[in-house]
Amino acid sequence: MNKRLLIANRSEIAIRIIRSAHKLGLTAVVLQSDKEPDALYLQYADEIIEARDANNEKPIFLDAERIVQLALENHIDLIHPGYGFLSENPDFAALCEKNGLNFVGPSPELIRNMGIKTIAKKMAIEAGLPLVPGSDGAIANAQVAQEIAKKIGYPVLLKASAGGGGRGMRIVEKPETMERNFKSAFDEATAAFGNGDLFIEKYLENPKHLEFQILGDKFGNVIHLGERECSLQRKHQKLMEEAPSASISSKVRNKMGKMAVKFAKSIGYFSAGTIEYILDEDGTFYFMEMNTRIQVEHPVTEMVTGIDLLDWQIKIALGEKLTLKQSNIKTTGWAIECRVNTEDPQNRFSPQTGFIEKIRFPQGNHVRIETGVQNGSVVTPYFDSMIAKIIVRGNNRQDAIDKTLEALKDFSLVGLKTTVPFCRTVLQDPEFISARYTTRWVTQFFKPVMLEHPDDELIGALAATIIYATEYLQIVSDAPASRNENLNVWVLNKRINK
Amino acid sequence: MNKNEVFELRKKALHLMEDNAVVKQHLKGKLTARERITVLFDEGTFFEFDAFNEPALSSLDGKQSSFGDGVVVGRGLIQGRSVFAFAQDFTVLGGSLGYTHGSKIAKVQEMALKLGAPIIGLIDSGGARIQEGLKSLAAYAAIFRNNVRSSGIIPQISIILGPAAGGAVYSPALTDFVFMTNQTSYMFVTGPDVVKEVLNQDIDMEGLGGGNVHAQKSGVAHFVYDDEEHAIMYARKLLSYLPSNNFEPTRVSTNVQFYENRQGFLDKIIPDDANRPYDMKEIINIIVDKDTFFEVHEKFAQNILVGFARLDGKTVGIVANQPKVMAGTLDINASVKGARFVRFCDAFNIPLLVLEDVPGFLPGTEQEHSGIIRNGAKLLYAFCEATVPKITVIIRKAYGGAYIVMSSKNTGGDFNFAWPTAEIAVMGPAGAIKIVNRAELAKAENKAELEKILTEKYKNEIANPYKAEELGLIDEVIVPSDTRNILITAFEILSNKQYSKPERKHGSIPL
Amino acid sequence: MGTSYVYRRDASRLFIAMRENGKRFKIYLPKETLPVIDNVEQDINFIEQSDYQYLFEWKGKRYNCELVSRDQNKSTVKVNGVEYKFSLESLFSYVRHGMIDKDGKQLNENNITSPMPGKIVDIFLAEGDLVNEGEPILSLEAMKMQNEITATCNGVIGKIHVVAGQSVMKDDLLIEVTSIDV
Repeated sequence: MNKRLLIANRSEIAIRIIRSAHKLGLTAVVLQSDKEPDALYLQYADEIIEARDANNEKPIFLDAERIVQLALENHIDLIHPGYGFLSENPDFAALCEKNGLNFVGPSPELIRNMGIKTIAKKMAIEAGLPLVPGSDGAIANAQVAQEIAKKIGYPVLLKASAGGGGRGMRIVEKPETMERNFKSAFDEATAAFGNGDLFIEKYLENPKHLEFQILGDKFGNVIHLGERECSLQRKHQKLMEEAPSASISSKVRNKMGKMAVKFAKSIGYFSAGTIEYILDEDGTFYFMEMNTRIQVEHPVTEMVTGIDLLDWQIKIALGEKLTLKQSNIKTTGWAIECRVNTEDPQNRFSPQTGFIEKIRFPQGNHVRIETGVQNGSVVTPYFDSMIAKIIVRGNNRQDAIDKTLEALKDFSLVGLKTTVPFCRTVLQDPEFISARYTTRWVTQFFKPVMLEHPDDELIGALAATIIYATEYLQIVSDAPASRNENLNVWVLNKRINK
Repeated sequence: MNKNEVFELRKKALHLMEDNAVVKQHLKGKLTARERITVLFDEGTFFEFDAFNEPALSSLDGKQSSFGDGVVVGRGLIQGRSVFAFAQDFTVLGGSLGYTHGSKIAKVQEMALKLGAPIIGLIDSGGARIQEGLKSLAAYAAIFRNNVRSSGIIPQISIILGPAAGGAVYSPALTDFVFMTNQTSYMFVTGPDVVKEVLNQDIDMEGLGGGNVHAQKSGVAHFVYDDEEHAIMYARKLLSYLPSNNFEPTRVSTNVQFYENRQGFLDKIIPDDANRPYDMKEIINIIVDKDTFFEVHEKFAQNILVGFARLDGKTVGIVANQPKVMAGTLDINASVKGARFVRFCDAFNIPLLVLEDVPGFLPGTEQEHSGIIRNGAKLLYAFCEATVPKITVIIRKAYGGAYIVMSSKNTGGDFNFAWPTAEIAVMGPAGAIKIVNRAELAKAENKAELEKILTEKYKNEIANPYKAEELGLIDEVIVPSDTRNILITAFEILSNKQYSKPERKHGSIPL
Repeated sequence: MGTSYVYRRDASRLFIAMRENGKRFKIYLPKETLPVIDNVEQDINFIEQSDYQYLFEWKGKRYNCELVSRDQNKSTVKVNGVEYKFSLESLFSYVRHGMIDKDGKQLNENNITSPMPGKIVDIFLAEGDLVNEGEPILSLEAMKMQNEITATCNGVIGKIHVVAGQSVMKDDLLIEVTSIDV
């Protein structure tokens, strides 16, 4: 009998996992949340488990106990957590393990270690990875923070040990503001993660964000599949990614890749994972963290290496040996991913919810679409705003940029606003074209007015005028717009005799 | 008097207004009375009368002559329909109302009533003419009396395009619809100077009685626009929905279009979570003919929506709860706004469509002490009294007294339909289970869990629309995307509705 | 009856769309031919409309337009995913607004004043008429020569202060013209 894979996730990544599951001959089972009972991913699955989470505080995808319980009831063999939700929750992985469910990912212990930044950094140092200068571990108070900051030089960054997504994070420009920032970061971290531990590191003014894709099996074989550049971010949320990166030489690429593999080996890593680096203006790079899940942006790596990362992630979980050798890994061409988020780039990226009345994606052999929605889908406020990804491959970077721009012209969505116009703007920006862009691009360069185009504006003016004129000309017209309905004698009689 | 003399006189009458006063009026962002008339009526159709009336000598103040006494009256066509109008002329004696001025207005009012045609007042007047003393007040009184006599017989529309102060405000107040402009029109009983003197409050004209104040806070103005052109244009539009008098049947548009592709959205538009709002206007726009919803009192008491629309070309009056504002609860302002609209529609044979999603009346001391009881009763009275075809569609919540009020079956609603998402009961689940299951809940170990179960049970067993259908209180539970078609048929069925009323002078509405 | 005044309700198909940043488009929508935007006929084809969507074709490209919201004469439209807000005016309300500048003073740079002392021979246009830039408005006789005075802008003839046969001095105000150029 086929092995049964439960996908503890939703939207495009659920569909992506189903695709791999089918390729590997697994039965794909998904969870149906009451919060989006008509979601697209349900149509692709072999089986659907109704999760009935309408009155629960957390959606099913965050409820480790219920997922495991439902998995056991439905004779599940493997659980794939996707990204986000419980994908990097060591307790969930441990709970799966305890109940004899094969968790598609590394061991709970590894997830736990990589999740606590101070531990991860310690392990990285041991493996010889360079770190951004800063504290070795959690710092006790603002005074200690001030001392360290003096040593490494301002500005410095306060970061929550357990953090992510920018919460519990503060840039401190000068000693006087340390105490205030320390307190607010501590409070925020405590509230968000239940752990207020902070550490401190040097704040890089114009950093780039690079990451290396790792694959490792349960027999100690580890390879890397090159890097992705994810510098285009807003408040630490990635918006566009590319592979490879134009910011490093092949020499540096080799060095960073080798270090990543060495680190992964040293900690006994298996499954798909990502080593994140931060690259300073002068070309020095530092280890940032390791992600122990499949990443949103994994398709760009797949597009340039031709290797199916999800297939391998599942095969490794099933105990297969990694047959790929580092020397087999060749990257050709260039790939760019544009995230389609239902956010309004004209209005501080505020999230949009409601109906997708009509959605149209670009097509072509060099275009790959990963979507979780279709015409008529509803974007709810309960989940992430990313509804789709548009990945385009070109022969080289400029070709990829041109083709992506071309593809984005064929994207349209009626009903909600998306980040697509933003991506369009980025692709035409000199900073991006010259690959000088950094993680500060949005704050330094981006203005909503850059989204506009004179041709679009003119067409908009025409459309607005037509709409107005239709009503206006009707009102000013002297021709009758309505007539009297003949009055029925029956009714008239009654009225008159009143 | 020979023919030439008449021409000379006419030229003189017109010339009077083309002096500096015209420029001044323009600089204030205002048009002159005659310009407004040309905007209002179909080209070349205005028939003026009483252009040579002279004011009482006392008010001339040494001036030679003042033809027309500061008001232009006459009759014109609006999209081919006969409409009477008077336009006060601020450039002549400040548009003040003297005896001649008032008599001209009264005369045109009487003609409109006699001939069953709508009347539009373009108001721009400094108020009663002090020089003429009591005579000008007497003229006002005659105007007010005519307003009341015409009420419910011909549509009366006031467009305020300048000041309307003191007693002058009551003529517009007695009419059916008041248009105002932002920044250039004001209405108040006592002006800023008096307010300052008596109450020592500093407030400007705009803040005391500008267009926005009356559109949002007092509800005096039904419509407010940025400029005079749009105010006057939209008065033309409003008229296209209304019959010319209370005997004329509902008007039918010659052009019917609707949002065909959007009907399906109605099946999904109600959020799963019963406490999440949605925009009722979206539902209205999908159901009615394309772009025909013309909202009345758009900015006042936004928890209830009222307005005219066309359904298959025929005018209907829509009263709908707006869950987006205050969860759609009924409060004093909403009740009064709704009641006024319902009575207008009833008077002019405009069928009523009610779209209901109301959790109840707004609770609280402020509401109770201000008289939500007697004000809520107005809406109830209006719906019970109305004899035009009345159809209610219960979209979601319909609880308690508020359910009864919104034209429920036994108040005389001709058809009550419900969407499958409807919840019809004496009260919402949260309140109901606390009363019905008080003992169980007190004993329960896991109170939250039990509440959840009881709420589900209540929704499924008591509040669901099929229960109401069993009782005959709902005529049909309908598929939301079919709403438009069903309503068209239902109104067609009701088009020959007859009614009988007990003999009486008039009812005693709880004012 | 039906006396014609300077001011008249206008059903000409000329409109002004103004963005919140002040940028203006003068748009003429002929009944059958192509739209004229800022005096240039544009080869924009209106392909189809469904509900709130409008599809145009221009310069070989398709433009998806969506009406996002409408409030009286203000509209927000979304073109290629980006929203643009416009307030719309018909020619006649625009012209009147144009009479008044921010300080409430009358604008007069386009008014016609007498360039030299002379006598008015003829006035070619009437109050309320539309006039194109360069189009003769009146003829003035000075030193036995007839001079045609032309409009300095596209606009509407406002008040005419002189009649044929009248003698005028240099810099006398002859005719008020309100610009409709944007």
